[in-house]
Amino acid sequence: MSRIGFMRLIPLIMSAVLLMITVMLWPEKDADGGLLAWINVILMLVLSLVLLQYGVRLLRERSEPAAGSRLRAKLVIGLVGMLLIPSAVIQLAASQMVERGMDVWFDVRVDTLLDRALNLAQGFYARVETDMKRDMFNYISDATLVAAASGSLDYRSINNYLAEIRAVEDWQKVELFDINERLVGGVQEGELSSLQAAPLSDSARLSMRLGRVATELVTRKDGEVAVAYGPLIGAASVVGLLRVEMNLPAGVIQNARAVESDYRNYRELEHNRQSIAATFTHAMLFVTLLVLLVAGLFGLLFARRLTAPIGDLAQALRRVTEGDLDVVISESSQDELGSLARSFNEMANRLKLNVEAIEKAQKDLTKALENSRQRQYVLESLLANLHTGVILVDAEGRVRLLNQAVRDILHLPGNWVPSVDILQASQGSLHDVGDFYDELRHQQEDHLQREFDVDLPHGKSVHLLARGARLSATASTSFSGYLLVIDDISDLAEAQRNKAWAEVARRLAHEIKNPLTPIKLSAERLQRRFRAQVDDETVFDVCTQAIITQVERLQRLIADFSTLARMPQPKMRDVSVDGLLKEMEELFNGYKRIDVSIVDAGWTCHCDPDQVRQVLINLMDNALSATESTSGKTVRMYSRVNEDHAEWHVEDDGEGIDSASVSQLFEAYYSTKASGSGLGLAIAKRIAEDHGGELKLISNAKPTHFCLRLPRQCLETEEAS
Amino acid sequence: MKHVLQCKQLKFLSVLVVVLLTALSTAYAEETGDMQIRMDQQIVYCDATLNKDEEAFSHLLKDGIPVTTVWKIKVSKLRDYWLNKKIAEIVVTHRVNPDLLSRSWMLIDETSGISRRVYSMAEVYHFLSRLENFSVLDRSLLLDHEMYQMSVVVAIKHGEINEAWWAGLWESVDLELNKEFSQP
Repeated sequence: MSRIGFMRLIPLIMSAVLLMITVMLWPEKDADGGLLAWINVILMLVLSLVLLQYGVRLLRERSEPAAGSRLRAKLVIGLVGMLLIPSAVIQLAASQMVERGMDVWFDVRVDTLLDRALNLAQGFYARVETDMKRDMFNYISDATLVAAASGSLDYRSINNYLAEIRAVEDWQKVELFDINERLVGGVQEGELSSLQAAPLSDSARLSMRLGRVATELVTRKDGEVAVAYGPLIGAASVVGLLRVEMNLPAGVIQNARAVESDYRNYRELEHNRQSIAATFTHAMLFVTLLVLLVAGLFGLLFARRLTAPIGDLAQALRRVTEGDLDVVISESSQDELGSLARSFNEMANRLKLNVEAIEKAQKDLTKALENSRQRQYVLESLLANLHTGVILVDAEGRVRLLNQAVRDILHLPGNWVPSVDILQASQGSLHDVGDFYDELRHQQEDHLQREFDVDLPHGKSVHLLARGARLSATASTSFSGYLLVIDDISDLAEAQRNKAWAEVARRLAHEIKNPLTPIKLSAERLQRRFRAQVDDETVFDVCTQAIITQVERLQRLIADFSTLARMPQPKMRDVSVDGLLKEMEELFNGYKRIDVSIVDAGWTCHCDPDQVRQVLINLMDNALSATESTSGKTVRMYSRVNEDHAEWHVEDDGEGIDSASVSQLFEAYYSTKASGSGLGLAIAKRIAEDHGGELKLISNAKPTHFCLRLPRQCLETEEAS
Repeated sequence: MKHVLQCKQLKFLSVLVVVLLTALSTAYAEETGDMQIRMDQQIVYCDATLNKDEEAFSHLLKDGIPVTTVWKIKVSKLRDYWLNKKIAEIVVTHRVNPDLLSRSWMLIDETSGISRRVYSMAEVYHFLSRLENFSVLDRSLLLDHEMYQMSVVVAIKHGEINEAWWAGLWESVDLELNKEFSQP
């Protein structure tokens, strides 16, 4: 068990001990101690219950108690404990002393002495009574008295006789009553006899009735009197009563009564011996409990006064821990606790100043960081939206920045991580860029510009314009490295190429077209006029026909060049997608190997039908040329339409196109056929692009698959805009 | 909250003390005795006897210690759902003062003030342990067909009687007799 756990159990242990003591001291029937015993029991019960309640509360307490409360509890328990031990020792010692004292007070010798003293006193009384009884016996048969009681003597004679008796016996008072309890005569020492005598007591009547001498003691104001009754017995019965009184000596009586009183007190004390001991014990216990209670209360007050500053300090520390630095505690006392409070306040103040300084610095830094982040965000946004690829390489050759445009232009894989050495990473599409970087790095000049083609996956290639600059560290930035900017100028190059071809075609058409017609006309004239004059007509026909045929071919070639050079603007209108397919089916219905699939769903496309028809005818021509030696449905034509685009697909099962030719397939004057001008697909592609669409080679063999894809509404939008 | 808790603690302790004191105040009535109720045309009488050993009295009296028996007679009307209604209450005090010198005992009825000296312990015992033919109340105070209860509580005291007001707060009871009766 931990020390704290044991400390929590102390109140419960104290309560249990106190309860045990309470049970042991529980007053029994006829127990001595009385009210005090019950007060002690109640006090102990209350104390034990308070301790029990405090202990239970401590055990059930889960959270941290109030600051200083434990120290306060320890101080109170310590103080009470310090008082409890000496109090218990004093209690035990006092109880022992009382027990011993009792033995001394109620010693057997004292007991015997008092018994003897009482016997002496009782002996005096007995002697007086015995003497009086003996004397009375002398008069119970006295003839004079009997006669007097019988009424035979006069009052004076009776009194004289009674006076004589009183004088002889030394009695203080003598009275004579007849049988009817009537006073017959009486004398008294020093005073005149009262005429009205006191009525007879029960003892007197009993004496008269029984005919027996009796005595009794009567206590009066002036002292105790021994009274004797003597029945006067006549011839046959009692005829009267003689009552005599004798004053007992005051000194002896006083002493005798004192002895009696002391004896009584002693016996009473002896009877109450246990009660006295118990009362003393309970009184001591009461005082002890009272002292403990008072000590506990004083201890509590003292501990509260002592621990209050510590509690304040702990509370203040807790608030400081929670971040409240405005806390100030009282420095009222001048002792060590006051000094501690002053030191704490000073510390808290310094802490507050430091925290404020840190917060200000943090605020500045945050602001600067925010600005930096803003700039970085703008830069990143700019770079992300830029169509020009930007690569930043540090002095060690590591790629520090690479925007999305580079990935798009060079078709970099998504998992490619830029923070690697660019030379090591310059494989595949980055190879040429790496070469450009290497050249820039090793040249003397700070700037470099190159144009080169980069082969991309899937047989594609792009024409790039790369520009590089060497970055040197400046006062504002310590970064040094290289900045590479890449632009995809494939479209621009193609446009320039097309423009060049158009110019060539225009000049060819101008220079060659004009002499061809006279040549052809001349050849036909020669054929007509000189055919009959030549010897070998066959040779003549072949030659002239060859001239005419070749001129016609040249004219067609010139016409194609002219078309390429001056492609007319498309005349856009809504055209049925399947209508074009039907036209193709009708146009090529002589070929059995063509399979045209028509859905006839009413799809339309906004385009120039003549130009689209020209593209489709060109594609069908190529497909038929490629499948001349095949049988079955080896050429298939169909359409696909979605919400945005209309597509015409042409597939054939011919030999297909070489992979090497795929990249040049749409270039002008490139043809794999001997008689081809190489302008058909170039013109078709031009038409598709003029419509905002594209002409794609889906697959180059098995089947050879071309797709003309045009937007259904695109040109209309452009026209509207 | 703290104040409320302290109030609860105070109430709990107060109730505890009151229950304890109430329990103790009626404790210990283990002596035995008899009680008879008699009536004549006008008066209700009570005869009560305390069956206590004579030695218990003589032991004290022979040592000169006064002995007193206090008889508290109470007549109440029985009520079913409420506390009984007190009709009459009488306290009779029989005190015996021993005179060791004359070996006599002064019997004092402190209620009436009548005293007499006797020389026989039997009379003393009789005086202390019996209440005979004691007129309790007038029958005119009782209603017909109503049940009443007469209770006799006897307390035995020895030594000097403490006349202080607080002495009555802690009286022990040696005998308690109860009997129900009604008008015939």
